This record gives sequence, structure tokens and C-alpha cells, in this order.
Amino acid sequence: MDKKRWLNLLRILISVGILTVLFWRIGLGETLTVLRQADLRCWLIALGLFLCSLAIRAWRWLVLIRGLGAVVNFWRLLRLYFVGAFLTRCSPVPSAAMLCGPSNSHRTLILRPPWGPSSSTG
Amino acid sequence: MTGLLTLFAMGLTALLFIARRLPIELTAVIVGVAGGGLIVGGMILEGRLLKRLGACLPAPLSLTGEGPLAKIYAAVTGCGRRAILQACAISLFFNLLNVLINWLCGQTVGAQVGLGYFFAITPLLSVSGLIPSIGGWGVREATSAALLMPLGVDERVAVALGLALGAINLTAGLSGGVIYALEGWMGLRANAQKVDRLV
Repeated sequence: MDKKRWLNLLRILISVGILTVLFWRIGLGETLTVLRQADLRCWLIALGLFLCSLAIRAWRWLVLIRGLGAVVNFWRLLRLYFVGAFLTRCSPVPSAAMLCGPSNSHRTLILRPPWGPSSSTG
Repeated sequence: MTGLLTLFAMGLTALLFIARRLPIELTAVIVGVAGGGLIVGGMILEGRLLKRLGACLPAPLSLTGEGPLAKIYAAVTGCGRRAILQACAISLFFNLLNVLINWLCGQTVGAQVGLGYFFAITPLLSVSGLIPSIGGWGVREATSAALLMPLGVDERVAVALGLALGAINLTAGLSGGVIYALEGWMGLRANAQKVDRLV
């Protein structure tokens, strides 16, 4: 097994292991009871703010990427940030923030859609 | 990195006002992580000292030359001082939202902890995201329990706060998945139309 696979296995083991220990100690049912009594309005406001924060993060990358002299459209960057959020939070791949990182090798990834040739216009 | 540095600075500033009401161990951890992070981040951005220290190291570990660390370092510092300062200013705004999101998740599950405390503990919650895991699951819940239990929050409530934060991350991630699928579908359709025209 190569290094990446070992690392992915480690990620799974850490997440599953810690959650198992936590729920074994405090009880899954009790935690779910707390969640059932949760104030959904507060959570929805937090979700809205989180989505706004993704736009702010995309804006920050725009500033850094422009500092490198590359031309990239904000909306394209925002879409990529959402896709990065999907890859980071819903799969065991390494931080997808690297997808939008300001290094030369990653700059092409910002400009290239996942299915086709490069385009700098966004 | 600009985001983390700004968050560390915010955490240390908040600590000046609430340190008396925090357990000494928690204060020490926040000072260690945020203070240490600020020093290391400052050294990376300043660059000269690290380059001088790293010059005698082998190529893979050196900040000069063509090694992997040197490439990352060149990318981080290549944006220019002005862009980094602008990014720090944007990060300040983003981190305020981040603190507010954590506090709102606390309110969601009924954790009776003031907003001021979240300014101090959010840097640790964010740094815990660097530990390898699947989308931060497990690590986030354990960290919020470790940070909130000394403040008198019930462990179940603290873990539920972590889960509420995780649910926000997951929902935002899934919305990104929808965008990804739509972009892919539209791209494939455009490619198919091109092929049709050629045939």
C-alpha cells in the first residue's frame, strides 16, 4: 500500500476511533437527545454565516493569487471553493484548500475545469 | 496561513480580558498554541532567519533551492507583502464570522458559554482541524469537549456542539458537491455538443 492510502486509512481510523470512544463514554442516545432539543434557528443562522465565510475565503485567495500575477475570476474561484469544501469535508482526500493554493503548480488547477482543457477566463 | 495568524492574534487579545475566568491549564494551552503559531508564522513570512537556519540543512528540508519545502515557501512568500497584508485584513473579518459561527453552534445545543470565551478557544478548535481525519469528524468533537468541559459545560453538550459544527461543514460540503456535479454535467454536455457538430 502506498503512502497516500496509509494516510487515508489513518484518517478513517482517527475519526471512527475518536467518535467510538466518545459515544461509548457519554452514550450516543444522550448526545442525540441534546441534538433533538437543539435550537434550529441558531444553527441555520450559523450555516448562513458559514456559506458567507466561504465567499470571504474565496476573496482572500483572489487577493493572494492576484499577488502572484495570475488572472482569475472571483465567481470561478468561489465555485472552486465550494467544490474544495465538498472534497475536504465529504471525502478522505487531503485538504482541498490546496486546490486553490497559490503555488505555481496549483495555479493551473484553479484555471482548469475538471472535465476539460485550461481556460483563464473563468 | 494568514487566517490562522489573524485568529491567533485575536485569541491572544481576547485572552487578556478573560484569562482570569479561565482555568490556568486552558490559558497555558491557548498561549502556547496561539503564541507559538504567531512566532512560527511571523518567522515564515519574514523569511530571512529561517532561510539562514535552513541553509545548512539537506535539500529536502532547506528553504532555499528546489526542494519541496523551498517550493512551498516560495509560493507562500511569492504573493508579496501587500497581498499578504490585505489577506490578513480579510482574514480578520472571516475569523470574526468563524467565532460567531462557533458561538451560535453553542447556542444551538444550549452551551451557556459567552461569546468572549469563543474568541479565546476558536484558535484551538481551528488548529484541531489540521489533525488528519475525515472532514474533522471525531477530532472536532473531542476538542470541543476538552475545551468546554473546564468551563463547566456538560460533555454531551460539548460533543453535540462539535456535531452541530460538523453538520454545518457537511451541509456546505454537500452544496459544493451539487455545484461540482452540475459543472461536470454542463461540461460533458458542452463536449458532447462539440462532438455532434464535428460529426
